[in-house]
Amino acid sequence: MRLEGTRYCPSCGQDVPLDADLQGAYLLTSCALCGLGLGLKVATSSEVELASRPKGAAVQARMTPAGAPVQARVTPGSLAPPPATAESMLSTQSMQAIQILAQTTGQEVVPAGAVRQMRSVFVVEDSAFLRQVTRDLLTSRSLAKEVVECDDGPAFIEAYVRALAAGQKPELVVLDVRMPEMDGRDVARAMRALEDAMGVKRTPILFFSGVLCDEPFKATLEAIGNAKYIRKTDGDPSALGERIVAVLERLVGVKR
Amino acid sequence: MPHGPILIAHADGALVEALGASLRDQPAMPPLVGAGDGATLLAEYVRAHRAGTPPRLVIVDLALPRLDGRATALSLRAAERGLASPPAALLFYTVEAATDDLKALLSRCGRAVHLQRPAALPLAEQVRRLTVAIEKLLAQLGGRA
Repeated sequence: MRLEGTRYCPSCGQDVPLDADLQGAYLLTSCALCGLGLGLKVATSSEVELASRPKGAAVQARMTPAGAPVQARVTPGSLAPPPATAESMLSTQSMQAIQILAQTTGQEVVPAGAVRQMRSVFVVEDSAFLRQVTRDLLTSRSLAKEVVECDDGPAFIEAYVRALAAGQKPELVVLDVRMPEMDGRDVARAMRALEDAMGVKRTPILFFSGVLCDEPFKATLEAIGNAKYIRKTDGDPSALGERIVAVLERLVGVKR
Repeated sequence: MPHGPILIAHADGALVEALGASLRDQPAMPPLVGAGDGATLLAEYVRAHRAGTPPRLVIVDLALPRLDGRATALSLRAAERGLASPPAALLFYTVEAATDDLKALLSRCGRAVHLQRPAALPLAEQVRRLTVAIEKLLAQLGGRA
């Protein structure tokens, strides 16, 4: 459904109207223009009532400021707010989004044959839980044949250099930003320096993080090169797989 | 295996230039290769390793563009492990005193020492003292070139 108000979309570069899907007590918002996820908000009672109408029931279409009629879109399954867990070191929003993602992973269907499987993907993430979620996402959708998990930047750099030296360059690196030993942006800079020195092409990087993609971060992405960004807390988790595939399409061409 | 150059990444280009000139005057001293930032130093290390001349001594400042001294040192150690290369001696040459954070970093890196830069002294004196420190370090590592 279309929400009141606008919000800045880093993809469109302007304030945009918001679409939202109900997930339990939360509305998962996305840009109405480009579909980029823009985060979670707690749904009001009227929004829950509007979004929870049974399928087939009449939905009051509203005319948006742009003049396009929109309808409420209700995602099946009602998910209660998740209980507090040991992963409380993560932001509440991030954990909620990721837990919803974990519950919905596997329910989504990617058309058979639509995705090219990558040979090897490195996942660099300090949270064991999120590494597992990312691994499951990549393997359940046959996006990657092999997933190498690293729990911090130095461990990744060591494994990456070893892989490059052995001629086993991965096809993608999924990189968290906030990590205790080394910031993900520093890891990416080190990675590019190593690639230059070893005479190999730049491996695509997918930053998968809770950090906001603001102007400085965009400049960092530009400087690093061959890098894209997906925010963990953005958008509808049930569609996160599709968003990742869409980004990978641009980054590494996973679609056939 | 022949020894490679001494690598240095330092924010003060004048210091690097003067140190290079000073080391050239020393007999059997490896050449000094300067890098303007941590990422370039990391790349120079890998190039030297691949050329069969891994550096035995790497000098870093903490405040560096692109990749700061801490990230550079951690990346260097990780790259050494990945390349199965023995760790180079690391000399942190900084204006900062040895804080707890820096001590923890030295411990984390291993084979690392800190030398506080006496920034108030004339550059020539700083270079003289740094040259002496480098000679001592190389002697401890077992000969020069």
